[in-house]
Amino acid sequence: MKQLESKYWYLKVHMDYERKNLPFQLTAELVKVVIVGAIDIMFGELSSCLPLDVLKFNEKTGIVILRVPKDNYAKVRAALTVCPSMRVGAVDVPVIYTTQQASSCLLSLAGPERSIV
Amino acid sequence: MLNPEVIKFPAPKSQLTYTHHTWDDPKRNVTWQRVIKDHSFNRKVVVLLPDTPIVPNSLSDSFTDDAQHYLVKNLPLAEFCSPNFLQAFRQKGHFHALCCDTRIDVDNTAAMTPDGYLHILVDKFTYQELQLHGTLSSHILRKPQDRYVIKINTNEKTFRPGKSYYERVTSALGHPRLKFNFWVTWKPKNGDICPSSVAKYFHDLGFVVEEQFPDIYKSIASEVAMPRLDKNQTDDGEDLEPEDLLEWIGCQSLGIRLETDPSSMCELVRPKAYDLVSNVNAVHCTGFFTTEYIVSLVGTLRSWLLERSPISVPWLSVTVYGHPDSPVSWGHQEHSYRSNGDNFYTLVLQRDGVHVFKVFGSTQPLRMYPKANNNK
Repeated sequence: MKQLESKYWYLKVHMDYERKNLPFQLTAELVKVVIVGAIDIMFGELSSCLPLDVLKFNEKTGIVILRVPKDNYAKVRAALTVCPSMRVGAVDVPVIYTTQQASSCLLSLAGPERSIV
Repeated sequence: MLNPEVIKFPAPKSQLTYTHHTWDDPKRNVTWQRVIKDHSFNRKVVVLLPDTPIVPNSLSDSFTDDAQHYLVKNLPLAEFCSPNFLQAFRQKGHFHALCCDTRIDVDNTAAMTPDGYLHILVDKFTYQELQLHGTLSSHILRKPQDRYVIKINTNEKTFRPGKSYYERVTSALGHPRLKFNFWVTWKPKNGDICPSSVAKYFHDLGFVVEEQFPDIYKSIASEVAMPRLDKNQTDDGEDLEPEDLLEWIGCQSLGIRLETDPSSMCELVRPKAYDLVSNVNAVHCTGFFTTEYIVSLVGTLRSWLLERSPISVPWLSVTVYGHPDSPVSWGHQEHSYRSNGDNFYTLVLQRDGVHVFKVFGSTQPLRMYPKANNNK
């Protein structure tokens, strides 16, 4: 049995915001810009340049699946927890990010969630 | 703290093991079977089937046959120690029971594995009231000491009414806080007995029993690039890492489409050596399954794979998840809930061999305070 080290961590984040406050609809690229902005506010420019991938964005349910390198996981999660709003087109829209599942293996995000959240 | 850490925040550790061997390797054939048999509590199964727009009846029957489980509400733990129960169910088949709505790091929880061990995880207050022998949990906070694991072996010869150990255990397990809602499933050794007799037994004792069936959800992706696994076919020398294979399987199970080139939004792309396959069907079944169900499912999938052509179906994968809040993961190994409570394994079935991935959380104890930075 070989022990492997995963290089990335995966997060499943739910975005809670009022759709009527937005000037236009969110797309996956905009979600990346917004999340990088949240990390920038908390940790500065150097941390916000670190690689972050948006693997999937479902506009109807507001669920985003992110991939970050292992060392940035704690920073990304902390920045999303305290971020109060997102800046979209010169408008500040209040948003709540809830990390539903986070794991070092992408396959476990498809697994069963905890019975009581 | 004089000098707190502000730059490096390491992620929690988790363990991923990988092995690859052929089906008829005599010495190592035990490994994948061991992984399946030791994993007692299986909550969800995800199967990736290439080139299957509609799942054939033989396969969809194997998902739902004999897969019912029962939810028993407010069951006190002392019921698992009664000699009638042990003789009728524990010795005549494989019995699995797991608490369904407790969390292992904050609540009391219990489970019974098919080998007859009752695993109970309690907090300090309840542990002192029960006065049974147990050990401090190895993976949750050790200071302040709060979580204790009690293991009761119901197979022992001294575990009979009339013996002092038995009387002590049953009176302790009658504690009012040790009543849980259990998922229960039983597979008899003798094919004549119906598995629902366990539900009838608990119903006759006066408990509320609900029968539940597995929940099946299917999703299809139309044109998918499956990574090529045979080493002699890759001519440009690019070998697929096992972690990348697991990441690819994760993308298909979640419905993520992979592009050919990296974009500013996402750098995860298609694998370099791939076969274009149409209609990859991801079947998700959620329920409470026995190990025998998984073994027969893997056998059915292997024979299905041999019937199909190697070009349209190069390989398929089965992922079996355990419950995130189960007290034990493999055998008697304690399970910890770090960020996601993973304990699952993936089998990638090929015609000549199998790749086995096992993922579980780290068993190092958690720290209340991070390690001090000693001005180094």
